[in-house]
Amino acid sequence: MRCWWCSALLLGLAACRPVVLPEPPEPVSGARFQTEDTQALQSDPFANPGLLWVDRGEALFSARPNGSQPACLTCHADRLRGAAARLPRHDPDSGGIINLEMAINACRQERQGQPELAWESEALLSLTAYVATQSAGLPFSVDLSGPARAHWQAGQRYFYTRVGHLNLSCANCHEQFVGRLLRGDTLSQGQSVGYPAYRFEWQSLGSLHRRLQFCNAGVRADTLPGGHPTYLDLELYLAWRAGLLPLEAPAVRR
Amino acid sequence: MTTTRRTRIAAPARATAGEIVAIRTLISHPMESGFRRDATGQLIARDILVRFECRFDAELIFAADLAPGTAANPYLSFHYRAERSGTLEFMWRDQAGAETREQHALLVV
Amino acid sequence: MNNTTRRQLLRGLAGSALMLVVRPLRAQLVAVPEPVAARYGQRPIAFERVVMNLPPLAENGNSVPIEVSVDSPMTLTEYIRRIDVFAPANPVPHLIGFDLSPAAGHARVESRIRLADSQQIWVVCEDQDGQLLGALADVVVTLAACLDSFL
Repeated sequence: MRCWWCSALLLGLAACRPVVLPEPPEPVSGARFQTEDTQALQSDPFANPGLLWVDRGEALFSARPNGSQPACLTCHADRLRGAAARLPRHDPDSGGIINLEMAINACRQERQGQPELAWESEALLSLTAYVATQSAGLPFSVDLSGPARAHWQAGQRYFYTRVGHLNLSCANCHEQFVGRLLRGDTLSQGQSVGYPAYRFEWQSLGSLHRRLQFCNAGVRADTLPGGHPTYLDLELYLAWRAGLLPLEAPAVRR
Repeated sequence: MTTTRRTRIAAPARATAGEIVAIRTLISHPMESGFRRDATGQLIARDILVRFECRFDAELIFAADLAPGTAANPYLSFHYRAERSGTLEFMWRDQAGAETREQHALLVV
Repeated sequence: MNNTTRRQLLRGLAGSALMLVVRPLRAQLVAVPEPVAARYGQRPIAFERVVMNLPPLAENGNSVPIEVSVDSPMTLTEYIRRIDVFAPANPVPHLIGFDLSPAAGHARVESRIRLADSQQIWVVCEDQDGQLLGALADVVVTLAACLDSFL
């Protein structure tokens, strides 16, 4: 009889325990989940194909649009060293989260009087890749205070939410089964430090949001457009989750 | 017909006479194979580079025939025995005949 | 009267199994695949002096590194003038071909190729007199975990 009470009490306690999300694993870069050949290609300061975009981004960064407007370099003589590591961040003007692509587009519109560059366009990828390269080796240092906190939480919630016909969350693959094989691929932690990255699958450089679309499509969920608030929240959570991993764009991935 | 594509060339600026130098090239090109389909199921037309040539002061020293089986953003690595100073000229030609050209000065001491 | 022991019988079976495995492999070395024959006919190929560096396992068929080097002088009288790479199971099996000159110094080239499937890659090299050298390498192309909605 006493035993029965004890069990009931324990069960009751277990049921009342608040839901605690697992601690993210010790961060490991996605590069470590590629073959040695692919890792060598990423580290090759000449042959990394992502550098074709970085080169173009550097030219765009220094060029004056229309000849008269200021170049990016006119205002950002430091070439935005460290800027990519502080993004995404909460933007008081729009009241939402903005990432590197959006910050570049905002600057183009406000300071250069230029139209927005389309998501995944060669020019936006090139500029993003160049600016991201300026933070290579630095860890993310995103600001999670104030209004950013709720977005970080929303991103974390999304990371652990099952979606799609396959009913899988980010965590199902990239936390529970890290290092295990899914068909021919070794599952990584889903770290974002290498983006924009050159993927053999795409045969091109691509943004983090394109990678998130690819993941969504993989679990047969609806994909969201680049710059969608859900992806921005997730991007903020991923930046926090990367801990002290150094930024390594343009990474080379399968 | 000339078109601009992003290229990268790695070759030394200086070499000693008789030295064999490594030359590496990279060019932005999708090398669309002609076998892929777009989101609506239509075949995407083939669009590839077909020829690369490297000359030293107009003399052909190395060339490559590229095909749909050559990876996107073609990478090439080869060697050259430097005997005298001159200019390395690089040319990539696509299937429509459009050419991309680059130069690299080599000083032999 | 049958004196064959169980052990002898098993040995015999193992031997025949080995023959079955070895003979097709030897035959494969001799049979030149059609795409190679289309370029070089049935000219003899010596499988020596050519080293092909290709990963045995390619994690994505869209970009596989390949290095070919030939143990050959590169002089006006003796040099490798052509290197061709074939993937017989690809829709276009001739992947890339290199024209070399004595000025190259080394008969060593690198590039990246596309492989449609796991298969045996053929490299054929031609010297100044038209003699052919070759190398073969088996490569497994793995399937990606997820596929893009657009492919």
